[in-house]
Amino acid sequence: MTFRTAPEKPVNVNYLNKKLKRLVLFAALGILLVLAALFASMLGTYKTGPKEIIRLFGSKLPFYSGPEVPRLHDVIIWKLRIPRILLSMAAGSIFALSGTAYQACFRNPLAEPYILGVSAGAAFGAALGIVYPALFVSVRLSAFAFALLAVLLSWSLASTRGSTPGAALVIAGVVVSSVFSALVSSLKYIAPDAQLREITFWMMGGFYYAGWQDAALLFPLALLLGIVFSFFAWKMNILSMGDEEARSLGVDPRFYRPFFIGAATFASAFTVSSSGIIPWVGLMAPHAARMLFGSDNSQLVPGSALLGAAFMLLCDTLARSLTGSEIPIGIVTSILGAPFLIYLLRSRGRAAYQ
Amino acid sequence: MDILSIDNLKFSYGKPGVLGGISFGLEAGKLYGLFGPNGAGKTTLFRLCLGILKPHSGNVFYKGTDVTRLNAPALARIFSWLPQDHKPPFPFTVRELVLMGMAGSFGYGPKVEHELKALAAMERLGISGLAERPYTKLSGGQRQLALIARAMAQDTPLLFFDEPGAALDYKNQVQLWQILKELSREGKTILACAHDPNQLLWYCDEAIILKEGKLEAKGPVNKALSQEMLDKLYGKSFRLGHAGACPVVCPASGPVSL
Repeated sequence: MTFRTAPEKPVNVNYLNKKLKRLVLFAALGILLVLAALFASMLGTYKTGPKEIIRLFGSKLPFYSGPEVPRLHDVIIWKLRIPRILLSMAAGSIFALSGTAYQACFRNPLAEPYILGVSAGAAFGAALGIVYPALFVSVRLSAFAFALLAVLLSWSLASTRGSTPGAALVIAGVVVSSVFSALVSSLKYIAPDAQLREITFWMMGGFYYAGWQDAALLFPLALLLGIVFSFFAWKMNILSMGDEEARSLGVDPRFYRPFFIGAATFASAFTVSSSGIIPWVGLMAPHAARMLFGSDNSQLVPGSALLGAAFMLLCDTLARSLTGSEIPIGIVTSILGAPFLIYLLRSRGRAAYQ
Repeated sequence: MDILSIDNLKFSYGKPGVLGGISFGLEAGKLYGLFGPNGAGKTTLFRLCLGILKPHSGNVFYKGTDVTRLNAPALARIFSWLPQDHKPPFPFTVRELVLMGMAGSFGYGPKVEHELKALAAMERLGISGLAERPYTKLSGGQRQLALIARAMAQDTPLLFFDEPGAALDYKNQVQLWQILKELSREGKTILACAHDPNQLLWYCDEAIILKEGKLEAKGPVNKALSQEMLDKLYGKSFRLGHAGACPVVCPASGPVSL
């Protein structure tokens, strides 16, 4: 150890360089994602080329004076594919962001957006809406309401005398999830065949019915969540040190933990209610991002949002264009996600997790 | 005037009292050693000062302000704390860990001044070479140094160290106390808890001795940590002697006892 050595060499130049590199990397990833999204808009059962896409985008600009775009292209690309692409990217980044926040809040690398019962609650809400359409105005609304209800239940079960310990919350989430899953099973048991099929499909997740309405809600929500979490990234870092240390470093967990969990839960419940239960993304994206960008949440938050969006875009594009009919996206995310995470774990996990 | 004064502080975790009415004051710029057998209430005392626990009765005043009235950011500008055991959840780099000491004062991210301050703290402890290493992969001693660098970067008037030398080898322990001494000479008030009476005798200005939640003694180390006090704390198992100019506490039975 050497003491009393003032920092003589300007080592900080090194770190500024590093920051710049990261910035360039994120910008490049962002541009790649936009290009991938444009590419995805050409793919599908109905084949279109780059010319059609460019002309279509041109026609949406004011003062467009070129040839008229065929109605079929307008419907397929502009009304179906583009909102679906935006929606899948938004959903991917919301799951990834929620997973990142949950992992920091619970100090648990296994935490993911569904851990507090969002998915089980939403599944029950959706199943209720499907089996009793007369009682529930919309499947989506009831899925959202029950997703929030499940999390509130977990939270209140875990709270004792004004404090909510993370471990208790995880256990309460497991309990609430299993109760709601049992309720879903009983609904499936009594449901007629057609509705049983519908419940099963809903639970496998997908963006079949995506329209501009959903995209216009979820895309801004994903951006907002990403910006808010990036802004409070250092608070998240400190929160992951544990409650007592966080307090001594000036971050009150009694405020910040409910804030992060609340925001993540609201956004993922809202997403699940529109997309159904899509597994893996919320667990995989934060881990992949941690292995690629490091643990600091100011890198991890944007990194995992970008990865989540890219991964979901890839999976959804495969799901809708691989075969003549749709493959439920949950199947694709699991099959593609597992080998990817295993690859990262084997190649980079040693540095990150030992 | 005392920078920190503790007034009749009482606390219990339910069963018999952990702290049964403790009062003392700390003067600015001194290095205090907190001493006492396991379960004496040392860590509880830290937690009460940091506002992690609420006292059942009594108060902790910082320059006349009751600290229970302060919120977390305000407390973090007064106290920094080196916790006793620390389980790292995610592989943050050492640089990031040290920067966390200042995260209460920067907004959304560290500025150049914060990076420089973190660097200065790491340089001073001789760990700037580890800056980009994940601190989960460090040895226990290096991790301890990283946490001390974090407390130094936090730059508060009062520093609490809960067994700072616990994971260090002997040379590093001694050098750590040297640093604490230096910091106190620069005006910091340090309360460090230790289990080795020698380290108190060699480095601390004053000793604060707790036993079973009661304050046994407080004063200059050579007065407070007397032979009578050692007997009172540990039975007659230790003898206070001298090695040259250094006071030394050694087993009363001598070096070999079979």
